[in-house]
Amino acid sequence: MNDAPPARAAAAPPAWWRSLQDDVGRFLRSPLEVGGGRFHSPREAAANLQPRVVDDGPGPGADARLALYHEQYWMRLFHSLQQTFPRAARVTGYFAFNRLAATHFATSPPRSADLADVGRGFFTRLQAVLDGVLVPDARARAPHGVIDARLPSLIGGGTGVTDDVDDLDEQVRAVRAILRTVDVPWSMLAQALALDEACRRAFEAPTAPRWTMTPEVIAGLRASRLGVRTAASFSLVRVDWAVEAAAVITPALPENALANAAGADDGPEPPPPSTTRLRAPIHHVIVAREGGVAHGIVDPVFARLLLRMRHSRFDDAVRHIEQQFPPAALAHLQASFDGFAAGAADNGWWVGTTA
Amino acid sequence: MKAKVKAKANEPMTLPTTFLKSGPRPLARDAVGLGLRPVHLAAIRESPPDIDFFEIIAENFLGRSEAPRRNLEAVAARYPVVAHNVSLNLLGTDPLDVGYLRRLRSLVEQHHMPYVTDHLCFCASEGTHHHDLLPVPLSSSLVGYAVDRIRAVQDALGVPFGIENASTYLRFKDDDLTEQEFLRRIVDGADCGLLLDVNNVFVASVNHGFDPHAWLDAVPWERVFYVHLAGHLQRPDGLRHDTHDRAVDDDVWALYREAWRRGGPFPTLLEWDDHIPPLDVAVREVRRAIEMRP
Repeated sequence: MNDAPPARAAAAPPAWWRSLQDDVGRFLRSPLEVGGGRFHSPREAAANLQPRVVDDGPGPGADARLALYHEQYWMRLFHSLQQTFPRAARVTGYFAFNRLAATHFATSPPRSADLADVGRGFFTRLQAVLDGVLVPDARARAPHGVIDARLPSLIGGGTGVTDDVDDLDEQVRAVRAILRTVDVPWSMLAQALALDEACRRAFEAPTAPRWTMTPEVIAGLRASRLGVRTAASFSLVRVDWAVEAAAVITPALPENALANAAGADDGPEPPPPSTTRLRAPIHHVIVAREGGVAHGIVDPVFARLLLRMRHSRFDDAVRHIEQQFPPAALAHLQASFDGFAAGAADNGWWVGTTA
Repeated sequence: MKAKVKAKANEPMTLPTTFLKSGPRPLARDAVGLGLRPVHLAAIRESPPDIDFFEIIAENFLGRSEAPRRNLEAVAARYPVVAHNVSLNLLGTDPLDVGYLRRLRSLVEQHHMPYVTDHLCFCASEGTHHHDLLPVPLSSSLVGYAVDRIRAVQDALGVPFGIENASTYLRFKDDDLTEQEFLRRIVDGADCGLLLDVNNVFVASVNHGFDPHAWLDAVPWERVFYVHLAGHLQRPDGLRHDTHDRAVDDDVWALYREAWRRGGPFPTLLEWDDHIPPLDVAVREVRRAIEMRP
């Protein structure tokens, strides 16, 4: 559709209206007060607006009415972020998660009409803080859950992240203070966060056309004449905490959260998830599929193969696995590769070949 | 191009010939429909419900992700779909989002949607989105501005455009019109349609202390595209909160009957956005509208 006329310029708004709108916007974005285990709108936040609002109607006064809008603004953002990061929210607990969310939105207020965008930058920022606080041995055991290099670990990679170093320092301090109130291992939180972020990225990534593996292609892969193209939406996340039980997979599209806010009371806090360490790490594969996000699990050998074959051929991956795993693993790989390759294509992990 | 959308009450909505040529799917005047929500997609696929149309929140289908658009294709192949918006920022002071309007027009054309609607409110300022339908002063000095913006939107979309009365919790001291006067002047000035939200009329009537039946007196029924119904919360402090998280209130059903008596038939759409029940429950609720009609 290229023939749509451009929207013609509308007349300039009255100056008083622009000024009033800007005041309302600043009021909404001003932080809620945290007290008694809940968020509420501080009376002084609306001081600029109260003289503009009718205060002699039926029912509650202007302050309560303004507070409704203020709390609704924040609750809608909290709710949207909880939907985008369901595992991290469950692991953290909703109250602490909302406090983390507040630090995110304080410097990254929504700039898009799409509520699904509010989660951009949240992972990057929080992961950077977790990077700095996880003790070395914990990082060695569970490197933030992520073994996909495309999930960045540096502040600055996300959309709308502030470049102001003072702001960042202050944010890091605020986030650390909140995390100290969270009664679960931070490495577990980091893994939940990574899994959620992988789903978020897959949700907004393009979906590749379905591709079917043929015996000829498999032979070409085995002979390293061909390489594979990995889906643009592909992420691999390694976890060794039981974070998956904490939430369901991201739904196919975000609900219309515009009508979702229900006041500042976010309901009773559910019991915290069990902090169960898995007997062995699980490798989750996340990709975009028609209609939503698909989620699979692979064993460690094939996880390594998937990662390696993003950039190199089968023979290189085999050499790498030989160095990293016992001989039985290599035998397992050689015996199972054909079926695995067909499955990788069926599942949308591999989407074509490279010559 | 100015879209003519006037139709006499009790007659099918007449659409301009240009739209009929391009294949829009106008709704029967007594149609019942549901807001399309992701949690219902599987149930819709398995057992297509006995309703006449779906309404989408257009913003959910115009983001980065392709998945919602793919899901919509399957629904739109079977049902007429109308596009409802929450972010056009009709009374905002930021410039209209031309890129968004282009994408919206493309979606509307793809699925032959008969019209597009949004709320008479503002929802963004200083480049940030508030993701809320914020109230505006009911001021005669804003009417011309609103008319101009709505005409610009209508021109950009190329299909009839309608505005919805929003639910509100506060009034400004700058008000010099009633809400129905404000709405009427804008609708007439922009020559646009009206999406009448009966629940919002009731919510606002309690929150601001006016007679909702008197509000209906001023409705230009010939301009009504369709009617919204939804549930709302009664707060302890007496305010009615437009939560869309429960069944339709009895008082709202009563007002719906009155609306039908005055301006029916019109298509009727149920919005349910939080604590969403199974599809069959939502379908039963909107089909109650048929029983409620006098």
